Amino acid sequence: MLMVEMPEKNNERWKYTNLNVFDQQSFAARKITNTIDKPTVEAHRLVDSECYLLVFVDGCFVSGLSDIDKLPSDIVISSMLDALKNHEQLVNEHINRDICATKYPFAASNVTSAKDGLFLSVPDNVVLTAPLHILSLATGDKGDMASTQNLILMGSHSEAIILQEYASTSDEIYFTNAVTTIATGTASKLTIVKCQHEGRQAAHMENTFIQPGQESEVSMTQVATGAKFSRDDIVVTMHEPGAIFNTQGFYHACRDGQYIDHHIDVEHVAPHTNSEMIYKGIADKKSRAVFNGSLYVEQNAQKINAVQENHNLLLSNLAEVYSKPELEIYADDVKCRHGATTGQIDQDAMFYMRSRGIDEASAKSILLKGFAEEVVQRISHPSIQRHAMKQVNF
Amino acid sequence: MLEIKELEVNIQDEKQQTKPILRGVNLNIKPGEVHAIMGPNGSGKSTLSNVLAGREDYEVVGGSAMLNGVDLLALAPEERAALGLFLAFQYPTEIPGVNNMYFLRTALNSLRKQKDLPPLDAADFLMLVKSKMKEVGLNETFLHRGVNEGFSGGEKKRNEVLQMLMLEPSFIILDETDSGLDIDALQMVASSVNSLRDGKRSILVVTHYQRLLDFIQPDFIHVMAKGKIQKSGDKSLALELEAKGYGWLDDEAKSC
Repeated sequence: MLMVEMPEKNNERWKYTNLNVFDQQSFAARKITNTIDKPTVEAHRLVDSECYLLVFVDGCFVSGLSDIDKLPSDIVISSMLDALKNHEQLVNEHINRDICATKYPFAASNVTSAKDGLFLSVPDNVVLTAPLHILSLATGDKGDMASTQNLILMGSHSEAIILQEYASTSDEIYFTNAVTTIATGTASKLTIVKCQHEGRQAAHMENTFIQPGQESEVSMTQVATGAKFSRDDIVVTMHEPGAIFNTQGFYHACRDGQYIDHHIDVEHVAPHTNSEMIYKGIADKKSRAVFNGSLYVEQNAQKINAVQENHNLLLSNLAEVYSKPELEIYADDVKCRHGATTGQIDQDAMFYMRSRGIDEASAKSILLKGFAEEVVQRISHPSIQRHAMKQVNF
Repeated sequence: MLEIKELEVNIQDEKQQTKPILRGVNLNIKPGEVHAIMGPNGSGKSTLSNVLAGREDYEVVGGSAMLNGVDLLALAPEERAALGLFLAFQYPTEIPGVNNMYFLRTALNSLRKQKDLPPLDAADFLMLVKSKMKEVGLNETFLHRGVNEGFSGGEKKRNEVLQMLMLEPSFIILDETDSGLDIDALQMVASSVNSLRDGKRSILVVTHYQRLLDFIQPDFIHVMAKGKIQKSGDKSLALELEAKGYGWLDDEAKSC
């Protein structure tokens, strides 16, 4: 059973969050009986690129659908269930089981409910040449819940690209509740692209906790278009000098009652750390989107470069956007830039395109695609970039 | 070709007050002719250009504008483009995120589709656009940038001319295309426009200054002030304006 103490109305982190779905529906983990066939899985495979595909169905690892024979031998990769047997100490060392339930109620509940997940450990100096594609497919029936606990550990000077995809074959009200913990070693490089296109009635919640190592670089791109309720909380602690954390996102809430929310907290504890958050979104029909970026710089964290940007387009009179970029800076030698805009489609650009012969509907779709591409084009891996763009439809 | 009769146009200003801008414009441009409209700031020149191209911020309250016998004012901007109308903008719009080459190819193929022509394939398009870019003096990197994004004033005008050469319109309006251009760019614009003069295409040049008209020789010059064409004549009128300014038109208008 999902046991979550729902946030109070005056809780600043949850003020704009539409939690109706959890009032209307109770969720419980059930043993999966639904099966997924190989063609359904293969339809998600990256085109024109090598990749290692790992498949989770309703939160449980399915080796039969995954590329387990192809996996490189120099990395440790397994289901969380196996990792708890084989790497118990490593798992316990990194996974925080004492999560603040007021700030992160769903992550706190995940500690007890999570059954499986991904365990990845890339040893020192190992560079993964092909991307790792973690495909989480939901087949959930009404009220089903899949809770996963993922752990990604990057050794020093290691490199990896991970595509984290959440898709579904279900139109029912099910719930995905994921917690991902990431710790990276010195001078490592980790790129994560998350594509969230869950079923249209689904609830999706992911908490990601990141600790970048010294001189390491973590880059995340999030593309969220699916689910009825979707929220991502990314919490980053920059406690090692020289670390770089970049995150960018594109979201498109396009259905009545759809809710998409991104909360990014970056805390600069160590000096000489850089961070960037650039989020763009579109809200249409009677939907709601929330962006809350918070940047905190401690007094001793000098020589910080940080950027925070959020731009939104409202396509309907009923759509709502809540944009809240926050800066809290206690150090005096830092460079921080932030900006937020919310507007409508640019009528001058529309007229310009139409005056060249492009019809109104095409002009609009080209403009919206362009708006999304400014984020998606930041994905450096061309195949993953195309994969993410497929999800963006206008 | 283009026949404008008693065209009256209003706008809503910032205080939501209705303000007349065009107060009965008459203009008749035959195939192959080049006409120039000159006039002081606020006379309604740009409004006329934008109304013809179909910008929606204006309210047409009277009169008509026909292109080859078709009622222009009843058409969407893209339909006007398909009829062969092209407006080179005074301030070309920047469209970040939309690739310039993709935009140009979509525009060209949209027009071809409206004319029942097959789309131009990528290779043919690329060959064509590269040769036209050379003509307007833009290097190929501009193909891969956002439409007009971060272009200088001159580069934007060159991009307008590039679109004009690619789309091969039959009726061209140049809305102060000369403003902010150095002499080399001005000559490029003029020679591109002149290369399209084929005895069938008509061109309407809207400008403040006579300078552009040294390079694009118009058949007729009209002077616009206070929302009306006050005086028409041949190219000697431009020289008269250059010498006397626009003030004397007021006196003349008062006396009649």
